[in-house]
Amino acid sequence: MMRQFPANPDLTVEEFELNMGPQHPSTHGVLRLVLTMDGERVVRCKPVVGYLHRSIEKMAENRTYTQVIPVTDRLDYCTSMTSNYVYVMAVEDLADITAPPRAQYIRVIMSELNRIASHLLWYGTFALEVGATTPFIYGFRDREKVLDLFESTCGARLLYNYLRIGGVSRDLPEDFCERMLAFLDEWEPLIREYEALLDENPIFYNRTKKVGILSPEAALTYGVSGPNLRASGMARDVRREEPYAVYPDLEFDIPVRTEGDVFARYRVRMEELRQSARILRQCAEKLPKGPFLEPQPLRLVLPEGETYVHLESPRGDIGCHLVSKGTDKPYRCKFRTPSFCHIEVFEHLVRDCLIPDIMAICASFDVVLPETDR
Amino acid sequence: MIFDPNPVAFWLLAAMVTGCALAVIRAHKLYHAGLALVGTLFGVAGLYGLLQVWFLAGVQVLVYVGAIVILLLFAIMLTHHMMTPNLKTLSTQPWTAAAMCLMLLAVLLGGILSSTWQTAPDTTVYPTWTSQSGFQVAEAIPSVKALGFRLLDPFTLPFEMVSVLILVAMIAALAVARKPPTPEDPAEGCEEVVP
Amino acid sequence: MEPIFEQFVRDLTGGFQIPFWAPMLVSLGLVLAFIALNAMFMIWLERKICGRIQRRLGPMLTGPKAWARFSMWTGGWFQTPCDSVKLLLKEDIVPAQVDRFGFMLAPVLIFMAALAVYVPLPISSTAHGQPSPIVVAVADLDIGLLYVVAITTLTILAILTAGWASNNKYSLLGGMRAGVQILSYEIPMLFALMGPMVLAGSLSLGDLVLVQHAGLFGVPFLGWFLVPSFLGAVVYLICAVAETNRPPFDMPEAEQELVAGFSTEYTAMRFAMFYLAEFSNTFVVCMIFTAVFLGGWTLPGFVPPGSLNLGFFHLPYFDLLAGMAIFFAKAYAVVLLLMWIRWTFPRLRPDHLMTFGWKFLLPLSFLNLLICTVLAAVQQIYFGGNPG
Repeated sequence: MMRQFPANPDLTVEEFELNMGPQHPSTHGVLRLVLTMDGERVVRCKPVVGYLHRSIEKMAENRTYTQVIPVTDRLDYCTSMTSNYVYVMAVEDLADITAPPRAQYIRVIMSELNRIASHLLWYGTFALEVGATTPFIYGFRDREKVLDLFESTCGARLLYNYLRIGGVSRDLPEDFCERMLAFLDEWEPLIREYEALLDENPIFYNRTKKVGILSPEAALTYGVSGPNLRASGMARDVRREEPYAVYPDLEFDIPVRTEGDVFARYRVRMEELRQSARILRQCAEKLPKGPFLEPQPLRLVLPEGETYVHLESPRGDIGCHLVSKGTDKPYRCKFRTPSFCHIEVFEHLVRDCLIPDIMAICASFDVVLPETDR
Repeated sequence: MIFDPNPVAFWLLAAMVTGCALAVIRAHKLYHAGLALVGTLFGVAGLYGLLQVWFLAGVQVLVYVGAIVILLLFAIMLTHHMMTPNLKTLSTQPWTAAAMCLMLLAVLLGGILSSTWQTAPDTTVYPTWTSQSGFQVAEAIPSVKALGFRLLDPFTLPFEMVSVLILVAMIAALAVARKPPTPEDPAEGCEEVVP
Repeated sequence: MEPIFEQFVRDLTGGFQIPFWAPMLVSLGLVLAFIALNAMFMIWLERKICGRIQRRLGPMLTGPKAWARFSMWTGGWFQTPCDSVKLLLKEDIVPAQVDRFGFMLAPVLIFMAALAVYVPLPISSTAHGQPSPIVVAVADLDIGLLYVVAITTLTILAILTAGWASNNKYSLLGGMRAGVQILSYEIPMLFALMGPMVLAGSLSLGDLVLVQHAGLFGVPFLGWFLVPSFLGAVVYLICAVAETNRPPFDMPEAEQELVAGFSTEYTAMRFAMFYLAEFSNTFVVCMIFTAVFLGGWTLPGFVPPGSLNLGFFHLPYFDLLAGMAIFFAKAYAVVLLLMWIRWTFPRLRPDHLMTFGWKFLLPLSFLNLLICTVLAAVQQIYFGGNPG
């Protein structure tokens, strides 16, 4: 494609295509962006997904309801707990099972801990994308402590397979609450440290302010959800709008920013870290005694019907559409994943940006590729 | 010292200058021509160094290699198909070109032969690289300070005139290159044309 | 360098007249050895500092295990030698579609520049405080500063060539970024250095140090050009970081954006050349900063004796060695500052970099030149002559 300057028809600019990914240091796995560039300026951007497609939805159709749970771990490896949760929630909704209160609390604790782990991972990689190396290590260092908590609970550090239909697979260890509170006491002041590294830095400020502005209308049109939507000025959160589990009993705020730029998305996530800590403290206080699992038959047969449930994962609104034909296997198990919607926005946002902005924008949306491709 | 390295250095540098100059016009890739030009300019800087005018040598490298050739290379990088060897290195009008070259040669030779070459008073250790002087600038050769005084004392007016001239040339170049945007087309407005 | 070298040889051998090329050869060998060893140490230090800033230990496993048990600063001493051997033994790949001539020339060119720039850097002198001290440098050129700046431009040439010859879009973008960046930061850098030049009335780095030792307005503590030319020092340091492509100005090789920029296609020794040159240039920048703004090998009010006599043992060339120690201590202080900056800041965006350079640093360096000129005039009128 040639561009001509009206003032001087002899002067033409030749655009060139730059293939960023699927193997590139900062496309987070295997996202491919086909960029049409004019020098360093992006003229067009076409995200290409599907390099990590493992047909999770199809696999789900060939397994019994319980057997699907470990598969959902692989939906989004950064927040396996919420991926587990959304599927378990769909099955419970269809089978009309209610988990015991203790299990409900444990699930919320796990979701929020996982939100912290995921946001810490995001904080590290996001800072890395804008060229700061140290925050990456900071984020990972503290994420390890969260993973230690997970490990003591379910034995795994990344893919937990912890939730069960009707509860959770095992009870929390004896001293879990004390250790969690100790972690929170130690870690919460460190959020200030994370912010100090980036917030007050003019370089960071210049690179994120007024970059990749997503208007609330566009955000809704594209189906953006979660922190990204809240950074565009829409105070929407599944935990508040359609409360599930024990969220109605818990007090927390929904951080909202109105700018809709990269900086706003960063700030919203940092605030969410604090809110998660707040929720966790309340849970530790209110955690009831009792059974953690209402045992279900190994081959659970669900009545005919279909349901759609969704919840707030660290990345946004994750949903599961489950159809049962009255057998022991799902007839259809469709996941609505936030990252898929977020990738679509790139095409719109990245236009007329510079290469470094692509990195900042893509990273700010916290896209996780396995969740996109499923 | 019996061995005087100066002539050797001179002939080496002269060979470098000429060879690179030939390479500039004979290179098949524009970028190689640019690189060869750097070699030529460096050789000339070396010759200045041999004459112990270090300041001139430094300025030669700084201005010609550091600024002008770099800009040239930038321009080359923006050309089409810069990796393909597509340069015709011989002129399509060889006889005209040869005549022009001979004329230029005649003018240059005339200038060189008719000039009375004023050399620096040879009172110092200048030509020999004895272990005493080495790279050190000998005192009798005009130093940077002397050059500065010369430029800003007797030759202030011409010096300033030259800088004004360069400024004028720069502004003129800008004025020529940049046409005023028409009202309906803002400066960066471009339209897409399918080739 | 030569006079000291000669004297040294004469002292040792009892009057042997060395051939004229010997000092050159010896300086070349010394500089080469210095570049390699110093870069190795700097890479180790960089990794340790980075580890300290990020609350890690850095390399700990290579090297004597007993030392590593003692503290994080004693572990992993053999890390960089091991890395160097690894780089040496790796396969040297020249991709099929590259321009072979340019591809092979670029690393040589960049290393040439890195090597040549050491010529006028003074690291010490004999006979401190005496009328005609002999400066220790490969050659204390009359045009030292100009030479350094001129040679630096070779680096742009090498990087541009690497970017172009690699025949890779990322490399090309990286090369272009590097070219633009170095070219535009050279101008404020030159103007920032012009302040000290005016104050000292000389381009020679050795003279600059001696003038600083003499002091401004007769006050030795005002002598370090860091004080009268403070803005210049700040501008110079920023520009110098930009010129060496160090973070936060590492756009040309920004990993997250351009994979590895101009060095994407390079492997093994050729890559090592780029890497080595980068660290070497970083240290050169610190050496220039030390010589121009921090008083080089001198300390205000301190004149080391020509030789140290401790009674039981006699140390000749003490002034020379003390000067070197002071010089390298200062240079490494600047190195630490650069490392601190590197591991704390995010990367700039190329257009912000340009705006910053042209609209902020350049006027600032002009202002600095103005201040320095006024100070030099005051010095000339009220205290007579240049400070030196």
